[in-house]
Amino acid sequence: MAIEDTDDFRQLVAERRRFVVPALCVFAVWFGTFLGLAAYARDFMRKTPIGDISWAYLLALSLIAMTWAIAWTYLRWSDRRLAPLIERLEARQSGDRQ
Amino acid sequence: VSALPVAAVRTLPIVIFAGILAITLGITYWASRRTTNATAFWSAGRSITAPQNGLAIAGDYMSAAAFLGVSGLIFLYGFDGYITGVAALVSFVPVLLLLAERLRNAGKFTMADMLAYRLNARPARTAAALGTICVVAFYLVAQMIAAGVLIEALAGISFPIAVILTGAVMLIYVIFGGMLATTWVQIVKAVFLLTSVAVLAVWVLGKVDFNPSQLMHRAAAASGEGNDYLGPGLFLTKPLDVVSTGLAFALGTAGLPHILMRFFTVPDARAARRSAGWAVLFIGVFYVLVMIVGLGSRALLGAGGEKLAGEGGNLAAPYLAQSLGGGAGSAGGDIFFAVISAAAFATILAVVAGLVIAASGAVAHDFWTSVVRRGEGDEQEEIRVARIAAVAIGVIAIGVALLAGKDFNIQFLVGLAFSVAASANFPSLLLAVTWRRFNTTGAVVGVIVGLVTSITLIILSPAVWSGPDSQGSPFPLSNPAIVSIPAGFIACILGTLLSPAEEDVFDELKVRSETGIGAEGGEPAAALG
Repeated sequence: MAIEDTDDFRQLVAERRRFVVPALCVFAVWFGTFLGLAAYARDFMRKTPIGDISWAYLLALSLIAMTWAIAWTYLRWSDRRLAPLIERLEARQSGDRQ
Repeated sequence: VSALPVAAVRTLPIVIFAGILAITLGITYWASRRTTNATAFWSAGRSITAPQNGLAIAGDYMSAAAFLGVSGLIFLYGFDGYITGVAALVSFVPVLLLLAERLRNAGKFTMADMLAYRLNARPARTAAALGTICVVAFYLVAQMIAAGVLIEALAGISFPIAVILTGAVMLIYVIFGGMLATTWVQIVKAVFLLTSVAVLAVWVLGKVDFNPSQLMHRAAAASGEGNDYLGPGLFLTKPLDVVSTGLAFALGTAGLPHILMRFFTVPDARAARRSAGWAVLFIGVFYVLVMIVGLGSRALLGAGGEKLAGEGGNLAAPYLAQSLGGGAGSAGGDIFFAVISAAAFATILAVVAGLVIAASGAVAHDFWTSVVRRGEGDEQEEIRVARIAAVAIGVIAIGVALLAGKDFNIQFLVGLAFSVAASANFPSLLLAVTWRRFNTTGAVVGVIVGLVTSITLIILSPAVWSGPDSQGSPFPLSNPAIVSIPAGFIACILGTLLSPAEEDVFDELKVRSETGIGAEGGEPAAALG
């Protein structure tokens, strides 16, 4: 059986997709909202909800935090959920070769 | 020391510049003795660890434009200057989730390797090499001009000499030390730059009682624009320009060859994704610091600031350092000014070297070895061609930078590099790993359409289009990405659907890119000493 037909490989592809697709959606919506507000809601972006700190800078900083959060979560997810599947596939492959 | 950023040779910056040259040339000498085969030359022998590669990627990102340019634009126009920085950071989300591991698993030395894996290799490599060379050309010329302008202003060395010196040093790194030297120069510079900017930012915060609200308040008050300074609209006045520029930076990274090439320098896919994670951490910290420096220069430099910062505000950060150190003429001011200037100088040297090695990879590995020689040449020949290509690229870049001159607008060249990367390279890379039907015709047509659309629209844009009627450029936006990225994708898709399907090797690529089975291995660390 070719690797691409094994359950482990299918599970690997499905698991990765289960993380990547929602994460990309979060990225697209969050960044898209930021860009849309910066382009079309300038009066709102100038408002200062906390002291003299404006929405523009708060949202920009929230994007930095979002990037950190997605990267950190993905790295942990990969090590916990994807790495064991990849190890099993590698073991299977080297077993086949012998 | 002259109060104006012109002429007058400054001794202290030159002494520190010389120190940086000595350290980086020492690294190059060390690396040259280990650069014996193609894997060493292109991928530093796959010997770079994840945190080291994260620093190197961050170093490629923290160019002079990102440090002096973004802080200068914040100084001049407030928040609009910050949008490109934030967009450039978030662009690592698609790079990490879609490309980093797959590139490392399926490729060897360049981004074209991944296309060649499943497509007809010669046309696919030719197209990818073309995309790479165009992106690098715009980026490189922009950085060379920036180098000349900055070194002239900061050290008092004239523009042509500064450009030639920068070009010569960059070629020494690449030709003798290959990717190993380029990477370690980048790492050393990244640490030096991050440290210097951190000191500058903490010092600024000390002046406002570590209260960010007070920093914003003082910056807004000093700007004369009030709260308008804290929001968008003072620089990118057209709303669509904000969207277009944001898209170019958010998707362009995924097509920047000198960044993607770094994922081949680590031992395996796990190290590739972890290095993207480290890069995100460092770049995020960097942009928080740059925000503080930009706002701080507005809040603290006062009325004389705009003259010192020069056109484009590029010198706001060094003059902020001078002011914090005790002002012009004081020992502290001179030293801090020189240190920040030297950090900017080191940044330019390291970034241009990374660009040259990416372009020589496209010429030697993709075009010469695979297309011209059809894989018949040996590794030593490939390295020889790479060195010749590097010299040719370097000489051309020096020539173009000298011809274009220092009055050329460098900001739009960087924006063009990002929009070409996002429009020509990103669509075919993304579709190659996600779409089974994708074929060679689609990739070639996509690269060409993305390239032609973005370059044509830039020529027709207000920044370049010269005519008697300044309000009437044929294309109204300063960045073409909002049109050229969709054009690149549509061309890829139409080209594919209108041409016959190819032999389906998507499963093979998928297995290798997802699992790393069969991927190019790392060399044992011992082989590199």
